[in-house]
Amino acid sequence: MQTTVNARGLSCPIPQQMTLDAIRAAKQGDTIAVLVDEPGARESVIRVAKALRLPYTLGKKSDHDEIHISKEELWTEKR
Amino acid sequence: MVRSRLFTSTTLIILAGLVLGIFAALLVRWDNPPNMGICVACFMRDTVGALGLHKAGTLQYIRPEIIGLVLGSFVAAYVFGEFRARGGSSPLVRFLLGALVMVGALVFLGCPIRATLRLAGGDLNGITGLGGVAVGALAGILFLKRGYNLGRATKMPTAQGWIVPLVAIVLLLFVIVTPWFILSSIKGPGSMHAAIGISVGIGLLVGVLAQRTRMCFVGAWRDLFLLRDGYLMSAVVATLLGALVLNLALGQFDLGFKGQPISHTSHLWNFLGMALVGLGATFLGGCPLRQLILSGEGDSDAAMTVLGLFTGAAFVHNFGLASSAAGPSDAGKWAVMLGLAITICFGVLMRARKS
Repeated sequence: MQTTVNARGLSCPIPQQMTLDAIRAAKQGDTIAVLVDEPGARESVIRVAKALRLPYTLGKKSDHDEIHISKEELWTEKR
Repeated sequence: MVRSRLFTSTTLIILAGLVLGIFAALLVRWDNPPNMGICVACFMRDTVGALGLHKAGTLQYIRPEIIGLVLGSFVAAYVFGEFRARGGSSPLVRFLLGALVMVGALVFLGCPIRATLRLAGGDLNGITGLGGVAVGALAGILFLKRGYNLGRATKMPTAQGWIVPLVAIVLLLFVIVTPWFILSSIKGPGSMHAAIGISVGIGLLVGVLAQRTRMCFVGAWRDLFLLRDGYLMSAVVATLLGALVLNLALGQFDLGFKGQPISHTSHLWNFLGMALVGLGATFLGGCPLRQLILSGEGDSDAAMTVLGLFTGAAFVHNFGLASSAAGPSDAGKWAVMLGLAITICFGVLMRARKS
């Protein structure tokens, strides 16, 4: 299942917070697609994925970027 | 036009921090005020004074460093395809928050960069200030988690994005030509400045690096607490180390709390003033440096914040809110408390509309 987080037009630190919320609410195996268009926002969201050690892919559309994050078991929840 | 790089590396931001720290220490050697090689808040206050918007005679000089930061950011953004005129995200709120952040900074006597540079000069009051920023950022995160949001920005006509760089160029012409209506201190910190070419050159270099790396001295704490991510914090540490090493080499290091240049030892108000900065800057999405850099990229919401910072500086000195070496003024203490209350209200009231 895919959740979409529309963070277009939103800048630091909102995209990071929205991404975190979506990741925590998603189930294992889901994909979270985060849409951003501010220059720094793309890297901020990627840093969220990297901080949680989740795999992600980056797609560039004509007027925005999409970061697709796969929710696997969060390393913070591993025991 | 060069496509923007996918991801800027940690190496580059560490380098950027080192450059900032080293050149800030050198600027002091080259006659900027002590422990104030680059202070975005103080320099905005000095620039506003030169324009006659406040009457503190020792604090009036158009600081070429901040002009360089804006133009460096503009050039870097333009070359890498990131110059985009955008705006519309609660501009009036940002203006007011900017003014309140400036109040906090001028009660402490510095922005988060200066807090770092003061510490690098041995001024241990920098620790209190940085502690305040950290706690302010932490508090800001609590509001973020509860849905704080100033709303979306949208694309604006490109000409709007050019306003800030063009105004910066006009200010640069003013400081070079010094027309009769521009004031310039003949004593005090406003009279202490490096040569214009050096100041603007260093500003340009740091501006380019800060734009590419997204350097932010409040975001550093926010990302550390929110994500346990140290990317932005590595710039803060690098700045501290770069300035520290140079200060030691140049004999500009003096360890202690008391008797530090352009500094006071009221720990409570150093802490609270910078907590206001940390909280306000977290709500604004960046420290004063970051706001300058964003405004150079065409972000008019950041430009409104910069206008708020400038206006706040004028009010602080016209209403006696600024601190001195003896400590905070009574009015300054009230202003910080009021500023914290107003900022917290914004944290509670500003929520996203469903869209």
